Amino acid sequence: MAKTVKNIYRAINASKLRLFTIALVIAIGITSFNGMITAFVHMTRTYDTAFEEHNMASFTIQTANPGGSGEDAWIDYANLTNFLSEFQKQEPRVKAYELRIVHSTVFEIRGEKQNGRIVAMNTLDSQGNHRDQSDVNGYRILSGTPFSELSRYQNVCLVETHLAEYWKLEPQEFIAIGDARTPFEIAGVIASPEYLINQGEFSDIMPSPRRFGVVFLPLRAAQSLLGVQGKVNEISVLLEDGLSKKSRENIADDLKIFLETNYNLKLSDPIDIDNQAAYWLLLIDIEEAREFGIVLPLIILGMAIGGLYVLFSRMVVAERKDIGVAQALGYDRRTIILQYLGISLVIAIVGTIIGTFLGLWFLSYFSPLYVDMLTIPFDPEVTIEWPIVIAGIIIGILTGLVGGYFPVRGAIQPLPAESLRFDPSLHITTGKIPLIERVIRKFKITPSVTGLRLPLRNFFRSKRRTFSSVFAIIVSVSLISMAFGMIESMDGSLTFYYDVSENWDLKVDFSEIPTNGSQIARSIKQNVEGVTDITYHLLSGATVTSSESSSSKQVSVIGMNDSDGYLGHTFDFEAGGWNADGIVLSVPVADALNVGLNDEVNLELPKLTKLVSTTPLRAHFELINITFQITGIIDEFNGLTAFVGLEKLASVSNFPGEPANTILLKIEDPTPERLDIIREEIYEKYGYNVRNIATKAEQRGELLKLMDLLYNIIYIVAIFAVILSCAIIYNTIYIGLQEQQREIATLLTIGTNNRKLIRNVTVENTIITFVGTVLGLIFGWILLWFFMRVILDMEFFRIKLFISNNTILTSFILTYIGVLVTQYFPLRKTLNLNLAEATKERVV
Amino acid sequence: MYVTDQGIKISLEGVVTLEHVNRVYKMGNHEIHALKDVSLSLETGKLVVVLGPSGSGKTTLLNVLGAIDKCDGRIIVNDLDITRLNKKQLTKYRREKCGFIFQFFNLLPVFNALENVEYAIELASRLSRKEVTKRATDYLRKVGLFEKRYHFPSQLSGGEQQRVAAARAMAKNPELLLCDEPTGELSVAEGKQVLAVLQNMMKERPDVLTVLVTHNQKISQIGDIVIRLRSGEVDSIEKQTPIHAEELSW
Repeated sequence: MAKTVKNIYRAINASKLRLFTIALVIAIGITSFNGMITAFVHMTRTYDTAFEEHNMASFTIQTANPGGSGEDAWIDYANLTNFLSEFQKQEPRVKAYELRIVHSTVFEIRGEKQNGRIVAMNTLDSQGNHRDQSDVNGYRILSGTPFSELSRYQNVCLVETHLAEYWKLEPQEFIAIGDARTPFEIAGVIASPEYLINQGEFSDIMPSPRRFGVVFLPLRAAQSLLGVQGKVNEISVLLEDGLSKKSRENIADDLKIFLETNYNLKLSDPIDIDNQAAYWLLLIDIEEAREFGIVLPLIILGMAIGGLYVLFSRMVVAERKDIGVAQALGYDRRTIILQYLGISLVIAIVGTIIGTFLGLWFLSYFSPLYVDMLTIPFDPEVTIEWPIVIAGIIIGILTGLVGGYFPVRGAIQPLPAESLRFDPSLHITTGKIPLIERVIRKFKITPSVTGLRLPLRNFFRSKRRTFSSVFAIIVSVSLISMAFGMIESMDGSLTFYYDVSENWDLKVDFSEIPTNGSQIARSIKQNVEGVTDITYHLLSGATVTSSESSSSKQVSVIGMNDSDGYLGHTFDFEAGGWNADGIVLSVPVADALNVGLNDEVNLELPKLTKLVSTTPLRAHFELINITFQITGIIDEFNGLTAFVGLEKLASVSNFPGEPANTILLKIEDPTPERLDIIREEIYEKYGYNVRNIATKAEQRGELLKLMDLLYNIIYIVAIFAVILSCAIIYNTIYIGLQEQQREIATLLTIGTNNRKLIRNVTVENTIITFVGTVLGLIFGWILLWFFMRVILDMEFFRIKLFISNNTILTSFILTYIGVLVTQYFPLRKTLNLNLAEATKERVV
Repeated sequence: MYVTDQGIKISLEGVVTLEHVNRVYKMGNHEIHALKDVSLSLETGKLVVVLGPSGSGKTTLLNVLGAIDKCDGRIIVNDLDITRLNKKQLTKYRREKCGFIFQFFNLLPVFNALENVEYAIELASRLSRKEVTKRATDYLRKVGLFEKRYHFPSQLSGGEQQRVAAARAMAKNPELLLCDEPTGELSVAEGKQVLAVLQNMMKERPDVLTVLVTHNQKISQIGDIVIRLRSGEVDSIEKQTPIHAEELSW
């Protein structure tokens, strides 16, 4: 045993650098495994802790018309408290409940309007004592103070952190809330588990604190603000832990029936925690992180196993004679296997140790980054997850053993005599003229023996050798092209979306729907200089259902005014075309519903039942289903959209006039300065109901910020790819030269100069890089498709996948540079060969 | 023209001279004197057989002559002091002046017989591609392998491979042909064939000095001169009338 250990030590000592690079491959795999999976655990735990500590509601039930002003909009607080106490007696699984006002309104912050939501809670408990935390859907104070005993008599508010951060709001500042612009003093800035992700509606695919913000008010202040003293419009219920979704839904349904049947209340359908918009987006993020965290390390470790297998296969071929000698000397197979496994084990242990420490460092950076990039306002608790560390160690060691065992087992099968007569250089030579050479000879092209012929023959000398040489390049090119392909696919889709699809320069969003869209548009065009085209749209969220099946999808429905010839949007039709009487669906929606051109779908739209005011539009609505025929299917970035004609939408929804909540403007010479001037002019002239005026660049910037996380992960993948590739390429080239040591020594002895030898090796590696690049690009495309379509299946972003010529060139150049740099070290060693010894290596 | 340290010009054309050649290998703390103060003068056109037991320094002598090993002292090959050459010049010397025949043949496995010979010619000369092929074919014909010129090393027997190696060594018109145990890996019949090929080619090239290293006393009979080495020192130098390889028996 001591001898085996000594042999292992000698073998490792002789090839320190080379074996270290293999350890590096394993280290990268383990780093990504530890870092990403632990970061995912930290992120999930951060959410779980936030939800648990702040009692996030299991479900909520709102009144039938929570935004309205009729009888079905509000419920008396005192009565509802009694009703719920009754229900709690018959349903003990209800732990707590909170009666709130949740109301969409407008804020005026620093002189600018924006949409948002007020959430109001009672600052008194059931005994009438002051409390600064609600029983359900609590919050954490990040700065300032919670509500005080006096708050219920004051206009004070707590601002949710996303909104506060966007506007840089501080306690003691004032914001105006509601149409009457009532000033409220900010008592504190809070983080709410209910709004971990700043999303209000499913249809808002790009949640931005500029379009949606949350402000918490004392219930009494909110009631005064809205003129609904003693009323609430939402019940938030916390159930006991561990209940299934089905159980939660049953209890919610029971509560709704109980209240409607016994007390004649009119309520909306309950919304389970899983269907809450922010929570839903959070779940998508968690799922993406989980899949990415598992799949990426698995791919890297798979490549590490492949790399080890290839390297050990070639190592045992190069050392087969030594194996034969050892067998002849009386070493049994077990000892020889143990020796090689010992080497791979040491490599694996070194790689695992490095990977574990790097992984721990990586997660201390990655976990907070992850949470921060998702704008989660709760700090993650970064701890070492021992089960993951141990799993990483086991996986790392198994990687080494699996990669090393099989080639060694194969190498000890022959009899010692066969191994002693084994010539590695002949073993890796088929002794044939490669097909490509035979083909080019047909065209009277014969490469010179001292020129291209030798590297060409070397490249094709055996399938196994060719494959293993090319394998390293495939790993490199596929990972690099995948990483860059991801970035440019997203960039390309975004660019296409904003440069071609979104055919406008300024977008005006209204706080409330004006019913004179064409009049405003005409007025802006006449009065604002530089506006060349203008149109107005009505944007709303809706559920689209297939007429054939029951599958449905939440989408953004855009009612397009096409009467002026300018749509503000250029469609990229995959099938069909625009028809104002039909509906145009995006590919993900059509796929999700399994519908195609000319099929029919139902849109669940609000139908006006009672008009309160026309400008802005305030009314009572009920939801109705309208059938549309699909006239076009578009393949564009915004994945969850449906386009219909505005006139038809207004007609079926029974809207008066020409309703619009968005105006799109095309500007002549749209420089940023000019856009700013026009924006100011519009604010000045039409600003009373304007929520936001955005340029495309600003909207694009918001989206890019949202995608920060993804970009960062991709950059990490790209860095891993380059390191991994260099490590594998170095080993492949090293072994390739080691296998040919006697041949190289012979070439040098008979007078081949160093320059020619370097040229031959470089030409051979260039051929390897070329062939590997072609195959690598194919694999890169498969990986790109796999990650973007299977792992990151973000239906709300439809990303067209492509790998550009630049990426192809970059992958090749980066890999080629890696090849040239890594070939330098083994080549330098080879050029200093002891020719006298190297030429005497034994042959058959 | 060779210039001595004293500045005296003498012609050593047609002569290979070794002056006080020493080669010491360090093995850990030990020093091994592979060659000890070897001084020789050998005329071209001769077949010199270096004989000696293992460790006597015969291969080291061949290596320093072929400039694939370094040494102290001087080695002058046809007016050229190879011990004063830099790495680049040594490569040129090996390329243009030396032909090597190795014990283990050392053919390039990815090239067939013709290509192996062509490689050496193309490297050492400025002949056109056609002329290179013609000369390589001629040499393969001379070693009796014209029919197998497109065979790869793996398709040739040991003796055939060594004959290809002989053709490769001679086809580039070397001044020095260095053979390291050329029959060591061959059967008697194959060995005799290879030696016969060497003798035949030498007849055509009286300007070439052939140095053949062997431990086989019988083989020494084909040499014009037999140098015996013992522990790195020249034990004896004998001139003799060589016999033809076909007459050998071992």
